[in-house]
Amino acid sequence: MTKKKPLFLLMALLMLASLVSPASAAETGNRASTEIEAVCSRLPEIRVTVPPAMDVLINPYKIPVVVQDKQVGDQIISDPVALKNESEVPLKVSVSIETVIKEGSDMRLLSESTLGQEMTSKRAFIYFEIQAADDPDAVAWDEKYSDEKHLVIRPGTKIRKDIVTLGADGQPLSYGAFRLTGDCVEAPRSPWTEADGIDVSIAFTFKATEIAP
Amino acid sequence: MKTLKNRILSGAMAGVLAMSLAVPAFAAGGTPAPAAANTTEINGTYTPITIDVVVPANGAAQINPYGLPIDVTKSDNTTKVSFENQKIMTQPTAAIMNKMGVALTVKAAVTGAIKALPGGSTATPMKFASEALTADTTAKSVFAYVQAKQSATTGAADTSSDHTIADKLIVEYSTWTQAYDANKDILVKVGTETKENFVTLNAATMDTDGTFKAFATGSIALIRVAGDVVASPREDWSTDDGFTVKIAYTFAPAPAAAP
Repeated sequence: MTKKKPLFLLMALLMLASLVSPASAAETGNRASTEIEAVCSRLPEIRVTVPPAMDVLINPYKIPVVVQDKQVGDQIISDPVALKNESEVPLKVSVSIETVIKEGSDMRLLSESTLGQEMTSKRAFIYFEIQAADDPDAVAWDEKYSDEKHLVIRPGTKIRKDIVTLGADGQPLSYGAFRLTGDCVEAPRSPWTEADGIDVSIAFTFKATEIAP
Repeated sequence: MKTLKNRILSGAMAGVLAMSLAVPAFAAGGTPAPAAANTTEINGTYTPITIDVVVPANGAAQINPYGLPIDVTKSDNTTKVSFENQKIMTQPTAAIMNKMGVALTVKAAVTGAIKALPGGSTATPMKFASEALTADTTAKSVFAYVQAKQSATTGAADTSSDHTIADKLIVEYSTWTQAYDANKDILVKVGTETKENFVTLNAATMDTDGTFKAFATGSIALIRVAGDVVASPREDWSTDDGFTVKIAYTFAPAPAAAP
């Protein structure tokens, strides 16, 4: 007769033979970190050349006057001058224009053109125009007044925000050529004299704007 | 910069399995046969893997509201590489580098914080935007996010006399153009955002003795903070403005590809 010994199983430890399952970070310490500090250090210096003065001629009788080597017969003539943006970024330009009628003058400033109107009082319509340009001596001025682009001057202060954008130094349209122009009553009852005129102070403010990608 | 070297479980067998099939053979007459004849012993041992990834402890970035070009100088102290149109420009030193012979998946947890203004300042602190900026945004804010990209740079590790890797990375960073992708990138905000599988670091090239030899394609990942900045906010940007981003990485061996 054959005796069968009981089966006995020796097992020390059985582990799952899984392949490379990541252990929890707490057990493994497989961590590291980077701290990045971002600072606002790339700010441009704003440099603009601003002309200190400009002459304006009230020319009611449209006498030809040479302006920038050209003969013009406008009634309000200024020798155009220009801002020059010397910054490395484009600039938005805002203007604040303060106007005073000279003491002793009986002229008045209007908010609309005198052309086509039958007026006998000494009136003038004068507005500020600025154009971004590559060459301040070759500017394509607008042919007539525009509410959106120009600023009528009146006694007191008039402000226009972001009236023009100048290109960065070395880039197109970095000049801001500006002038005063307009019209006036040619032969008012009270004739034009040397006492007539205006004093205008134009203050510019500049705000950097981003470079086009 | 520090090298992370820690042990992780490989997941291999960690024990001894011994089982005898408990039916001892009996020779005629009832004497059991010797145990060695019908026993199989298996030894399974735990083999730790040392994580070896170069992770820079610190990095630097610039808030560049107007998108001005920023130059980075190579190791020769002469050659400049220009970074264009990057409103948030991260210095090209934030890359992470796998020096192991196995690929790694990388989990990243990103925590943002706004830098405190100097005491007595009356300025308004900047803010993190939670979505892309629009043209009419006037608050002083950034839309920032962390991005990763496998690098094409290969070669032996940088040394004190040879900065070939670093110089190659400068060029790679400067030409890296990648728009925001919510599925891949991690938004920077006050608080923490986490992404599993942020990037995979491919295995490095190892020597015959198993030691690191050279970085292979994809074993380095470019990491950066990128984004958009309001150029002309109501209140102007100043050098007091800034933020920090902490990126906490967790590394794990990548699953083997299915055959």
